[in-house]
Amino acid sequence: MTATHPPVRRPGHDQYAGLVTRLLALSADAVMLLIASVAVGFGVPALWGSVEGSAPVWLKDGAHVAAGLLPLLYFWLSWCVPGQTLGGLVFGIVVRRTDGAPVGVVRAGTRAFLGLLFAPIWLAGMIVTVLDPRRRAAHDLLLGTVVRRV
Amino acid sequence: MQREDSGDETPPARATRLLAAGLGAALQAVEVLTEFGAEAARVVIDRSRATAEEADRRYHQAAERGDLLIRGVAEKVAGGADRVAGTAAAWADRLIVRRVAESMKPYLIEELVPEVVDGVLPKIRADVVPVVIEDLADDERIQDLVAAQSMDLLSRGVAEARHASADADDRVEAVVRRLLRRRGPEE
Repeated sequence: MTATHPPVRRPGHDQYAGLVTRLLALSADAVMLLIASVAVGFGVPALWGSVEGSAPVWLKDGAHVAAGLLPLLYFWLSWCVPGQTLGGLVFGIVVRRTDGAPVGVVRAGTRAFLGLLFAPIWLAGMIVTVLDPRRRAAHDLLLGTVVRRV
Repeated sequence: MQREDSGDETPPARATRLLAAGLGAALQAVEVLTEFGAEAARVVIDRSRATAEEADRRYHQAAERGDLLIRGVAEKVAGGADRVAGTAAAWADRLIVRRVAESMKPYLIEELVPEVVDGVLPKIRADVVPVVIEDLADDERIQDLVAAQSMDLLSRGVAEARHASADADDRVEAVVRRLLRRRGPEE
């Protein structure tokens, strides 16, 4: 017979977002980015083609480049300016430096770049959140950031 | 000389004088009487006028009093009649109308009202409902209400998602810690 115990909450622990919340927010962002990237990468040339007959090559290439850069720009600007992505807005989490200050331009850019470049490692590093007292992932430890609840 | 004049006065002359004196006295008397009569007439007229004015004033006072009295009586009579009518109507309602209505209720419910509803409902559906829906849709208060409800629903959903995810965070961490504690001694 297995008894179900309520989860043990550590003091001050709740103000940081845990593994599930962060993955859910990331999933929401991924879905929105997928839709937006497809719309930019394929929708714009298709729209042009429906009006003019066929889209020029430069437009197709430009749309593909924009679609590729969209995730980087999205995460960079989201973490740099408000500190949260749309997924973070839904789940009420915000990225900050460990001292509570907003993430700067360089740090936000590095976080976005590394996260997209090494996505599998980035995701694997999320496991560390269940062990860290401030629920920091590997990349948070590396970049000196935390993900707080708001 | 005077004595001579008075002594020498002849009888006809004396008579004339007496006549003149009498005439003068008579005229004087007439004048006095005339003035007296005129004064008396003036007094009588003044008093008559005063009496007439007094009579007029009294008449108006009496009319006013009478009017007030009649009005008060009329109001009392009307109030009494109203109360009597109310009591009678209540009595009639209690004893007659309700009994009639009670006796008619089965007929109304089972036959008349369904017929009326069946007859009216298609017309209401066709003519009234679209207009009402259009009015409601155009009403800014309804639009604000719908928007507020949507926002409320959205914020509730978001709050629930946040709560559930926070709970899941704690549960996942509890499971991982338990697993690590179990494996610890074996390793």
